[in-house]
Amino acid sequence: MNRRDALKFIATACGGVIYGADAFSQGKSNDNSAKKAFVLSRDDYDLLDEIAETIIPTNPDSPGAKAAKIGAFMGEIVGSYYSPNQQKVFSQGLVSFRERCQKETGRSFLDLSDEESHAFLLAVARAPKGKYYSMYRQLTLWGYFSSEIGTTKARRYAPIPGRFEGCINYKKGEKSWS
Amino acid sequence: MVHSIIYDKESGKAKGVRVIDAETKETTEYFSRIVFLNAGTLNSLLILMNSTSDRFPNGLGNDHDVLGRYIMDHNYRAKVSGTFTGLQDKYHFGGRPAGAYVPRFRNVGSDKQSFLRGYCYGFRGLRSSSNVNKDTPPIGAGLKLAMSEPGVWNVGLNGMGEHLPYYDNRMTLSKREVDPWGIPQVKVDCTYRENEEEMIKDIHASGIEMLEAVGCENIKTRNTQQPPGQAIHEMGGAPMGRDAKTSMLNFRNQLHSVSNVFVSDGACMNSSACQNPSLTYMALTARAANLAVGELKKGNL
Repeated sequence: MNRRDALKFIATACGGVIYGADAFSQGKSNDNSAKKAFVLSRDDYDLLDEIAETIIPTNPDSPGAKAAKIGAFMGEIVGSYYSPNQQKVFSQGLVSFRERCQKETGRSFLDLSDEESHAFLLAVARAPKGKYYSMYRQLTLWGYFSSEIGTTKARRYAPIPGRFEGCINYKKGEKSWS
Repeated sequence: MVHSIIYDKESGKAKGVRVIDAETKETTEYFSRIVFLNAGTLNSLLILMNSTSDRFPNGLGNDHDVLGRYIMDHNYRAKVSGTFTGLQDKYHFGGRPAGAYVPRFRNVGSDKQSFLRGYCYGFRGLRSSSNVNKDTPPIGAGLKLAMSEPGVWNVGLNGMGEHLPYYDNRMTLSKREVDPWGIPQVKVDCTYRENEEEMIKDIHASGIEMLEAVGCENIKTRNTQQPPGQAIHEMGGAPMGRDAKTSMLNFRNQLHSVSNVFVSDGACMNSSACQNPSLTYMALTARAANLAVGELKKGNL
């Protein structure tokens, strides 16, 4: 899978623009000074991991986004491929997200139970205020389904080159190829 | 790197090549009885054009200004895609079920179109790796499930069409700009024209007809508008031909006017046809090498 193909299915699933996709697929990363200028705290990474885990949770057959280190993935992609303006939206989004969570639940996102964090994030998904939520979501899907866990546990992995079977029977419930 | 082929006025043949060391920029000459020039289309043309002498002021073997003209690529700009919701109980093993190929069917036999020559289709169909639709939950276990099961079939057709040889689609050398080794820069002036545009209309129309006939939905057509060169099948510029007045090479891929120089890469092509060309170049090269050895043994070279 090349860089462009890797992003196609995310675009399909997210139904819109993928931030940083052009720079990423052309291999044009930000220069080192721009990368260094984008900094996230340990708390930010914890929060991003938790948001990602709520979008793609652990279930009996595969670990979720936290185990796939999606917080760190987001930091890397945003630092390397987002424009300065997009980086600002991403970072300020964390502030807005924390405020909204305090306001609507009375607690911080990390203190909510699984059910509560799901309910709160569902509310954000249905009525996002600002672009940051769609960034977190698309980065989660992009990172998770290109991670080792996502490609080998959530989906089925077939090494290339493999055997050729162009038409086989499929039963509902069987996983897709990563 | 090769700078040029050395022409020997006395014998009327090439006597070797002039080479520049990429690091020291030192020039060395190497000598041989025959020269096979297979540097890749544009680089082969570059070397011929850069091989000037009193006898050939406009490039080796270029007595008629054919060298560098009639360059072509393939017309790969037309695409047709669709989705197919049937066959949900079928899948393919792995991520790449390979493709199908529809050979050229236009302007074949009694078929007559508004454009010349034809095209073939590269065809692929594979199921989407996710099954997300409007009812999929935006987050959580339901989203994860939908992202992990196969969805509709995505079907795509790429038209692979012929690009006609035009006299003024040409490559020349810059008179002023040179690269760090003193070799003139290549200038390419090459376009797709009415015939290629007419062909694209038919590639789209026939593609739609086929996808509709098998029950596809969301059928879309696209013209990528990519310029010549992007299909990476550049060819022509030193065409083969029976008449030395209108072509560069004979049937042995031998320069008409310098008999011990052979060009058997893409530069020798007269038409681009609609097939991938590498195997043709290899076959032409095998034949040319065989004929060259035969001529050498007979003492003709």
